[in-house]
Amino acid sequence: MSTATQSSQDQRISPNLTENTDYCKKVMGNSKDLMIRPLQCLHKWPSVMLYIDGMVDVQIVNHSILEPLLQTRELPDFSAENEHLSYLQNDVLVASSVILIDEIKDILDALLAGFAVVLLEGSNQGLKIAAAGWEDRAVGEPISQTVVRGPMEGFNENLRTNTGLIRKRIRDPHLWIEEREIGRVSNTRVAVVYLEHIVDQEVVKELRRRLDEIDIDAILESGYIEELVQDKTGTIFPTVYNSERPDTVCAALLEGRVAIIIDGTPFVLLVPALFVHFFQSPEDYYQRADISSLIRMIRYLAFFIALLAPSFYIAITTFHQEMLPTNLLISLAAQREGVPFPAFIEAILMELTYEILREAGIRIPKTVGQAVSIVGTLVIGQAAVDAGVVSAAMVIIVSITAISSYVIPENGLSISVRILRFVLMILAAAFGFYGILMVLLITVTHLCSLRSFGVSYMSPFAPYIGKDLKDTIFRVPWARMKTRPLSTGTANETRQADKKTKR
Amino acid sequence: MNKCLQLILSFAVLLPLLTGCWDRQELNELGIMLGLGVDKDGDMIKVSAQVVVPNEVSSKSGGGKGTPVTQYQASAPTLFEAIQKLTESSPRRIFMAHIRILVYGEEYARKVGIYDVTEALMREPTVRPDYYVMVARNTTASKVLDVMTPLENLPAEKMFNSLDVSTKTWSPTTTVTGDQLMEYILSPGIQPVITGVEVVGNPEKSGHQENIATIKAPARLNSTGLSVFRGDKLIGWLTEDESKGYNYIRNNVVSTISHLPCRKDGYVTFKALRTTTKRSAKVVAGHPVININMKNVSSIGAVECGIKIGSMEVLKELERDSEERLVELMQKSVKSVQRKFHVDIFGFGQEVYHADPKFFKKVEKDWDQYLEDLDVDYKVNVQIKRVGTLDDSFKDQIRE
Repeated sequence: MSTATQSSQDQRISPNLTENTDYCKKVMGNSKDLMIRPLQCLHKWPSVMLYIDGMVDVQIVNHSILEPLLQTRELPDFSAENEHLSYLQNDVLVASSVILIDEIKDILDALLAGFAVVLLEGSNQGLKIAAAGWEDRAVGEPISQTVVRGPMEGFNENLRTNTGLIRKRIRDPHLWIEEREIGRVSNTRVAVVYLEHIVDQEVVKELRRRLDEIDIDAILESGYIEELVQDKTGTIFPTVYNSERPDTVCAALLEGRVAIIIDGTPFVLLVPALFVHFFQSPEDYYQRADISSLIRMIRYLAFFIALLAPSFYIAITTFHQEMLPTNLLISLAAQREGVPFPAFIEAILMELTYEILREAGIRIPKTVGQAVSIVGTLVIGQAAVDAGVVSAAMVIIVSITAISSYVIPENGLSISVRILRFVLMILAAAFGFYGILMVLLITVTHLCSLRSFGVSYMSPFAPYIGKDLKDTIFRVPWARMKTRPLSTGTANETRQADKKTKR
Repeated sequence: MNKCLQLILSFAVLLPLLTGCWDRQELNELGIMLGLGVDKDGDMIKVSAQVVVPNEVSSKSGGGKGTPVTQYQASAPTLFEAIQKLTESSPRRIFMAHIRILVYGEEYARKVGIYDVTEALMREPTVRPDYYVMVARNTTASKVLDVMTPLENLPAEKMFNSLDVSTKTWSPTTTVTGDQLMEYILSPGIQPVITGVEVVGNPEKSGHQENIATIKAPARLNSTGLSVFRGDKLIGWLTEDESKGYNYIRNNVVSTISHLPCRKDGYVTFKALRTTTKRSAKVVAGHPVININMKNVSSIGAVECGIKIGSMEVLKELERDSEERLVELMQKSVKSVQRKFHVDIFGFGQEVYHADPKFFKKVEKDWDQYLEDLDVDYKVNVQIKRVGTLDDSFKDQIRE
């Protein structure tokens, strides 16, 4: 609510039309997109229709509002003044939602939300008529989380479309959607979605509390909410999951998690988020369990490679040469001949080059992207080795590290890995394996101390919950997924009735 | 949060104190020593280090201009002084963790003894004790480490591998690693034995690239025979047959080839597939007796005479002959060691110690005298499991 309207809070709509329109014009600073259309309602009552151009569907305005309002018809007798509006609301207007409003502030709110407002001369009420219709991206394939097998639908920027996509998948009245507006200026609609009979009510209560505490001018993306509601700010690990896939969100809802949909972004937040969630790809559940389990394990392996490969290389080649087989050592030594930098500088150089290339690859316009990727591969690849600036082994290490970091399905965790990788490299260069061990110890301790909405981040490993292990490092076949994860504190454990499904 | 910060800070302060070993070395600051040779140089010890030249080994960066390894030498009163002194001539620090072979010059092994070096290398934490130990027969370690070898271009690696392969497939050699050697020196009732290595052919240009420029290398390295030690000093060499006998008794034989004279003329060749030997001892009325129980599974490799290999009787006969030959082989080996060297390289004392520790403690001091007329019982069981892809030999069917 802007300062101008704050003074006129609780101010009723004036019976004088010009007063109202002047007020709206003044508050909105004569913005050109505020449309004021005077008309004679049913050729009898002087009135005015207001809407904001670009936020309403002109078709709706023409056919559902203007056409009925401008017809001539037999009118019944009216006793009270306000019956004019009720008559319009009940008998004339054909729009889906027509609501009476009393206050002048409601006019502005309604206009800015894409309603058309009709005011009658002599009435201290108004009508807001749903006519919202702005350009939206169509529901398309999710870009950041792709699968080979599985639904190809992704969320878009419209909150209503997004809740629809979820409703479409879970046709159950227990799917509750709470909406609120956050952001003093932006008034962004934020929806909290959960399955009432499965979710842990404490989590919902806590989430409500945290959302209500937010006092910020605008929410433009779910990242704002993510940072504002997470448990601990001093961590590099993500404690809120995000997804642009409706199927992922539905699966999470069914496991007793809560989704936060923010208007204007296709990325939906999911809480609580645990460490194991970041290794789960929706495809794991669509493919057969055996291959899913294998890929899960490879994902965990890739996580450790992405985290440790450069620091291990540094530690082994500068401190623990005796650990390598003789022939490998000689081969590595041969590659390092003539390289002017210590292994650490070499590794940092290559990792930085890679990070720069990666960042450039994202920012660069698509038309010149080709050129950069060619230069990039040449820089980190052949030319650097041929020029003797870096050793071939280092190129292999950096490449495998880079590729491995993309195996983690959710981007949030691979960002933590990238940060931690540099810390590990520095400590490995200073203390060898001892340094690596120190960082890992501190990291594990830190991970165990983290919580996401009261749920231990490392569960079901620590605290150990045996029943939940069925969907962690491996995924058991669906026939064996009898219970929902207990770590999220679900009130409804049973996923499948306990009868034999084996044939 | 504040607590976390404190924790990290205290770690940061404590970490440097805890490390103890700041020993960062880049790979290209290391001279990787693969072979270490020890010789006598007057009163001093002469160390020859075979160091890899990485540039020459790699297939990519040039190569072929020089030799894949180089040798540095230095003399000093003790081993480590000498090794450190190598840096006088070497541009890089000598890195000892990857020693593949340790070669003692024969003179050094005979006169000075191998204890000093063994002790030093076992004490040194950076050295892995899995190197093979060899004795340069009739020559110096420095010369042995100065031979270019074909096929395996790192000579030390060649020696390591060829000893490894020949031990697994040919019975007269055996491998002794650094830690085994120490065990043999220390354990009561056994004396060490080390395989010898010699330079055969013309050693004139052995260390030159030319040595591998011809199909038949002029100078070659051969691992031959076993050297016998008393304590830490070399006292003599076993012949090939004696070495075989030794390895059979010590259960070192994995597979090997042997022959047996035929009843008529020519030989029958045996391939040993599996051989296991168990030694045990018994002390009967203050008199130790050693039992050697050997099981051998063989197949027939070749038959040069026209015997009917397909019949069971002939096979049984061959088994019996083979058993006799193996007993003879071991007997000869034991006899000659008893007669010539008077040291217990077979570990018979160990067996007696296991059987009757009190008795062995009593006789430990003059065990070598007991050894001289020790009764050894041989029991050999040979089974011929296969005869190859031919049945009877076709010698009789050859048309004149």
